[in-house]
Amino acid sequence: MIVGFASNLYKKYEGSAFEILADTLFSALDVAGLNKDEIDGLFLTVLPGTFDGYATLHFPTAQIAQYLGIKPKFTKVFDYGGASALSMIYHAYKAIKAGEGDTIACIVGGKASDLRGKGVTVDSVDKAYADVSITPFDRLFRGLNDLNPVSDYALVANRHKYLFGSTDEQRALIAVRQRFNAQNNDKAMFRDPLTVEQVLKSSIVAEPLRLLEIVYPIDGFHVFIVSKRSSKSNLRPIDVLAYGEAHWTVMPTELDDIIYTPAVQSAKDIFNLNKVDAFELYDSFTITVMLQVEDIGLAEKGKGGEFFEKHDTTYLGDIPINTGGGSLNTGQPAYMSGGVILEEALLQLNDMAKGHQVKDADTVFLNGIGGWNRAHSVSLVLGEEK
Amino acid sequence: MKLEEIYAKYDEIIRKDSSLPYIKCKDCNYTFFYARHFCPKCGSRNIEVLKSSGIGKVFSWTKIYRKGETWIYGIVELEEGFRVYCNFTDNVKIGDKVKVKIVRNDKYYSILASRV
Repeated sequence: MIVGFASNLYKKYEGSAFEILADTLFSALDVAGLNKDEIDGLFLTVLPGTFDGYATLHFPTAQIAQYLGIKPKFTKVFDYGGASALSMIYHAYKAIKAGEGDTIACIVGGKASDLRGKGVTVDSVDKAYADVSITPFDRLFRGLNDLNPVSDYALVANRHKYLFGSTDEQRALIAVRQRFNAQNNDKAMFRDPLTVEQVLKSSIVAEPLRLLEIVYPIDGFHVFIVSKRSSKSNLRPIDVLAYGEAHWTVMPTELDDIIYTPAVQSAKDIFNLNKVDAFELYDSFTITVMLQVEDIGLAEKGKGGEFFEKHDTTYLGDIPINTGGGSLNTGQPAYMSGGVILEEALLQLNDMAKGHQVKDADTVFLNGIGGWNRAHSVSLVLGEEK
Repeated sequence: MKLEEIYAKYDEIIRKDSSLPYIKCKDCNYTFFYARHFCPKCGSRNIEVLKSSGIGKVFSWTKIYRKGETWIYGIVELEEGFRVYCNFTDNVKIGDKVKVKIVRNDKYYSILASRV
């Protein structure tokens, strides 16, 4: 039922986020063979500070519908950050199967460059805008000097090293493999071959995480059209074969340990991983991928680093992971990579991943991670309708 | 206890000698720092605000490099059983014994941990 999809990614877009959004939507509708007046559902995600330079968007679904000139029957905001895109697809399928609508546009992205220009990251947006609340405990938390989410993932990486003996080389290997996959991906911004030594020589941002282990925030959108009308679309009829979501929204200091993500719960027993042809895992940082490999069950907890030494995770390998190079190489639109991994999954399933196609890819497992300090995880398995 | 009363007690403890306040559930003994007017573990309203010894161990840390400056950020696990985010005044490694102090700067608090 995903009958159309499109993306437009820019390192820095000189113009409005509304322009990129509309252009991407029209491209996705072209693939679907539908027009904008047929959209009856509008799903989107917004992260403060990452849409056209504004910290908040007043009634975001209305503003976006206004610009597009559409009158949807229903709208919904998914605020799971990087996990939002995957959740939208599942809920769009459900809404259509329930007869609530025929065509739902799922929109993810924005302009990250405005926030990037202010010299802050998305989870330190409070340092760029006054009166933005980031936790219910702001007065106890905001006096700290952090660099979230980089510093947050760095804390996890250091603790993972301490508990399990994982190494900087093992994390670097993840960046190297993904770069190999990105070499022939025309969506990728970074395509030069990369070595473990180069990753380890890149400057430290938050110890132990280095520059080449960290996603680059960019401007851009992904749009996915979910519709029961597919007569004009040439895309394969893809179904949601399995789904799970989990929200661990407590302060990470109150978790049993910080080296687990909610993927432990969202991915638990939802699908037989031996039947998966490719994995698209959230790659905000190298350590994020290592954590998911463990938490979805590809490796035991603590053995994620060894997993990458034992397995070839390139698109040609025995366990292909992030087959297009992931957002570490395309950049991260509006600080949320869910669209990047979802688009790659659809390219794989439609045999459209030129230069990085996994042979006979029929089933793809995706896991999105997002929110403040990894609060949300969405696991999704896509494959052909049975 | 209302949230504002809890924060008033926090303020009192902090202003006196920069000690770290925390909350203990009198029903299940769970301890926590990020203030709520009930126990997030068992839901009880039977809670009390206490003063921590400030002694704890480094749970994790990172040294941040930014625009020619460095600083150290992380998590400490206090001997009363709860954890807090903090900035470290020294180079540390996981497991190091530290003492935590908390001071108010305008609206917000700085939480600083030093090796002992």
